[in-house]
Amino acid sequence: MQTGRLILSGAVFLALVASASEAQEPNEGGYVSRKEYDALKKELEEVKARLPAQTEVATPQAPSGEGNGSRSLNEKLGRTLAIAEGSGLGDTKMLIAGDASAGFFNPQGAPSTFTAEFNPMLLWQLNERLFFEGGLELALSGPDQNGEGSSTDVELDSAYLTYLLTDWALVGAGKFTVPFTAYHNHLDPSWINKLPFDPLVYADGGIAPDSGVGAFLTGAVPWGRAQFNYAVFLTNGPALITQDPAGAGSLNFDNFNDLNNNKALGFRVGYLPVPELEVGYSFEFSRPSPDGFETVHSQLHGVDLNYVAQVEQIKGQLTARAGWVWSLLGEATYDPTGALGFGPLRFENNRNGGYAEVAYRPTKVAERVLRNFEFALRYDRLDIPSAAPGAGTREQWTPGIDYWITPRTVLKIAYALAHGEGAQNVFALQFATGF
Amino acid sequence: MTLSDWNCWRPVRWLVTVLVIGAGFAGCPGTRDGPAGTARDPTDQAQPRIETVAANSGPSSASVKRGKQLFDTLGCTACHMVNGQGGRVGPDLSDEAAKGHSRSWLTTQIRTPKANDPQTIMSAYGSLSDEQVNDLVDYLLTLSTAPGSPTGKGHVARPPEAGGQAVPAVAASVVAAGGEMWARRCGQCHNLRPPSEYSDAQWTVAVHHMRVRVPLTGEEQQKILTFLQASN
Repeated sequence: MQTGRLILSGAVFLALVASASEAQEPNEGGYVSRKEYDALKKELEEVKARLPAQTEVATPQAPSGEGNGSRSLNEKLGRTLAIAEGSGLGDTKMLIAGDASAGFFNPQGAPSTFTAEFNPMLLWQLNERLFFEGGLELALSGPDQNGEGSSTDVELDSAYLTYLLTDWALVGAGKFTVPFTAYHNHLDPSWINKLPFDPLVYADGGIAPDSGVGAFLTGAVPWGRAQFNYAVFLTNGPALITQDPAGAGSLNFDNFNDLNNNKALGFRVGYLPVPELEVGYSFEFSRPSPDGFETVHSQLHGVDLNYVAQVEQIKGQLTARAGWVWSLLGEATYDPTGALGFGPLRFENNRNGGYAEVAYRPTKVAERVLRNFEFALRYDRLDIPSAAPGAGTREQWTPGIDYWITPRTVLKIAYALAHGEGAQNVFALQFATGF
Repeated sequence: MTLSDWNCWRPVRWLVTVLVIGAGFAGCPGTRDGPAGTARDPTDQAQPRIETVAANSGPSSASVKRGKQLFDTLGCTACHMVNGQGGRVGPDLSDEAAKGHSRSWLTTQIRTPKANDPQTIMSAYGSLSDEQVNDLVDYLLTLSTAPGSPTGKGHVARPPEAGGQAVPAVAASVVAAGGEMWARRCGQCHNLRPPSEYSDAQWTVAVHHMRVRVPLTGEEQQKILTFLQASN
């Protein structure tokens, strides 16, 4: 046993000695011997000792005049940097967007006219959650009946601030486009609208709200492959026209002051079963009657549809859009004493109207020029109750052709064939661009 | 005044009618990327993309494979469809040779697309090397939907081989998903402007604005922005 331990100890000792001697001798395998190590260390210390002297030689002391110049340059540089940092863009981001158009409208039996509109928007992202949109509508208004008074109409189209709450919700307040059906919120800018006209139901004298002052909550929620979006809004609400014989019973949506401390409350729910299709339902409830007039409640219902798809079978893009609005105000007596000269006028004030539109653009045909054309056809209608001013049904069929000069610049030509009391056929040309 | 006086149910009946019409539209073939009657799921990754293997004549299989990898890396399918998969912003690229597009035409289309079509919204890929452009062209020219061709209908697809050049698959897929969302959500209302028209900061503002107006979800906003900032 003792003999075995001795043999083992001897073997270990021999191994240690062998490895130590290997470390002391030069080796071809890349190891460094103690002798080489010491020599290298000595060389390194000598190099280190020489280095400061060489640095001093390489950078001789500058004359005093040049030192002053350098300090002056550094000061100037510092000031310039301070100015640059002070006037930097920072974290907020802005963008000017909007649309502009020029048009020529020739109504049957009335003077033709050129028009021009410019609708700039300032978009300002203050941070990742805060966002501001401010938009103006600038348009030329024609002369009055005496041929005087041409001017430029300036309207505050939007001015609102939004704050992102979650991935599916944001709140906003200010003057905003009322999300009552999809038309005003999405489709009426001149470079998006396929025709030079708004549908009767959304035009001036229509029955759907376009913008309002108040607050809103909106967002989108995925639902499997489908998606819902929603908007709830509270605004000062429209005003019922009671004094004007030509407009009695109509709602004035350009009223931005609360008449009676009753706000308009509404919502829209949109459903996208597939990304190409959206259907929506909207509702708004308000009390638009002014103080001193009998109480009238307004219920507005709206449905809308928007479908856009590339269809291989017809070698192009098919767009189908529709919307219908019901304005239910019930019965009321206008000018009850006859003092305004058109009363007493009592009628059931329920109105409705809408539009349906199809457009086709041959985006998949071989001829490049043909791909820039888009063909549109719209039917729209507005029903006014029989006893109301302007009573009757107005209908329009409007075929049109668009030529897309760029993806956001279009030349439109259209002819509106109108039917109904006081209706006029209108030929229109419009050149519109979005920016 | 009662609710029945206001004839409240009439709009509801209209709403039901619109929903039924909507469901009918949803069944139209134009919304389909796959077989008739089945909606295509944009997130469906179950079927791998067709792997093109060139015949021995013409381009080498190595260049075709590199072209395929580059095609995926650049996220070309965000806008272009190949064998039934990909976006619809640009033309379907499944039959470039059959369309008569020559090698030089394709090279121009990749490097300076506006030289072929001044109205195109396709971004120029001028920073690609000659070799990369050649690889892409080799790949595109081997694509075909003709029966019996390597990439034709009925050809058994196989996934891209592992190894070789590392492909940032996640980034490419995110960009592609954003491109598809951009085409479908933004294209629902208006034509799509070329991504190159705006800088990264401008797209940040524009997409935030669209999130408010449309509205979009936060995820949609992020994916669309990622695509636009990768493509401008």
